Amino acid sequence: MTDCTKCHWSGMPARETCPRCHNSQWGDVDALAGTIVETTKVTRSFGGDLDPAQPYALIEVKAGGFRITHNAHELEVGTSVTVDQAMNINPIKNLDA
Amino acid sequence: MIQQPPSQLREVFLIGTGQTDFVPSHRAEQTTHELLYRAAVEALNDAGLTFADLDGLAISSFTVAPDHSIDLAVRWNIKPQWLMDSCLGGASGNDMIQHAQQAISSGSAQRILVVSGDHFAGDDFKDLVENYNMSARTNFAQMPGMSPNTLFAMLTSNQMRVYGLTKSDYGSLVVRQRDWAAENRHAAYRKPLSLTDYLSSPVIADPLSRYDCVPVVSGASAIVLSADKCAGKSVRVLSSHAQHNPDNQDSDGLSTGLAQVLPKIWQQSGYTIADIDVLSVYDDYPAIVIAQLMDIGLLPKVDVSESLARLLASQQPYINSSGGQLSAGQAGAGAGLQGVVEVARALTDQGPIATHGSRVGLVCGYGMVTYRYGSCSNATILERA
Repeated sequence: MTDCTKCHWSGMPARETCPRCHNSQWGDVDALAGTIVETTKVTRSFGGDLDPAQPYALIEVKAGGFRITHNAHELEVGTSVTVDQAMNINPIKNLDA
Repeated sequence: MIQQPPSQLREVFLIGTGQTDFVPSHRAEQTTHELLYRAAVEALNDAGLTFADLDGLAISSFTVAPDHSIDLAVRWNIKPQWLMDSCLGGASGNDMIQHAQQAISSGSAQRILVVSGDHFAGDDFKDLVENYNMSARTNFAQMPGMSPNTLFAMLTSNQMRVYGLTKSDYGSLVVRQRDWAAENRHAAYRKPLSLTDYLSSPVIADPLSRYDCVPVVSGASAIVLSADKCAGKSVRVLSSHAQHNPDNQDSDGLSTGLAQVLPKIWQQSGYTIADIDVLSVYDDYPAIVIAQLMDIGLLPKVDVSESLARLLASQQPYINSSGGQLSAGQAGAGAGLQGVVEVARALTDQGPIATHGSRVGLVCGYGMVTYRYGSCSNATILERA
């Protein structure tokens, strides 16, 4: 997962230069810490039924930026989480720990 | 034809409109090219012109590919001095008007046909969603069920929490637009809809249910813009401006670029929001209508539920008086021009009876989801000539 090597902003969509510090060097991190700010369960799409047990979530990344993930399970808005390379979401107890 | 550069900027008039029926895509039988042609011919007939009278052409369509405006110019025997292909989806109608107005007023063209529409066959719409841009292709490819509904469901949840809105608030807007659709012979859905119908409809992506999600249809719209007024049924294009990417996709999406566009519109036209008789607000989702009504200044950010009810009841201005896309349907990129036709017809007494006599109208465009919400906003103000 990419993040800015200078200020660690790591939102999406991808940029050539960091929107916060204008650095153009990007690194790669294993996981990002953030907070769930929205969720939704999709039950129908393009005429087909879906598994609502795999909700979508909008994550506000602690270092800066937003990412949309899948497989949010029953996690609620406000939950502190980490998102890994496979876009799996894991709750954490204290972001500052 | 050789045009001399005008010594001063010329006025621009909208002198003809055309529109096909909007048909749910699975039932539509006409191709994109056929739909665009039909709308174009109707607009030209309305203006009393033929293709040979044009020296400019602008098109917007997702499914006209691999063709572009020059291909349609050849098919339709137009010899343009000015061409444009807009790829701004729901903002394409105003995008084309903004540029065409400048072309005509500066003398680059005299008469421009603006046409927009789509037909989605088979997996066309699925392909469009999955390959909308690099962001969708790379970020959402492995996410089953990802679509604009997913994104705007999350935006709607946030709007409900921030402003204390309920499903019934959104429903009141959707039901009011369905009332308007009864008078629009082109609308895909005209059957009356009650709030109970709305509230009991199946959930698509919570909190969005069926009637919150714009129905995909096939259809096309067209207008003719000219330096010459057409007696009795012309609409003056007063001002058209845009603000794209206002926040770099780094805010909550509850405000659009309209807030930055409108001061220019008011300054250039001499009108204010209080002067607007008919208003078309881009309505792919009710939450986006509410966001734009706030940006326009018609809806305060406190007591939103009560204010929305009062605004809809007041009919000052008439909002989405064709039924909007939520009832007429969203004909792909053509949706960007549907509101223009709606307002132009209202200003020439061709819209719903209640809107007859309207003098000033505003059309707001919105679109192009670059990650979480639309990145394009624009507006055009029109006046009965």
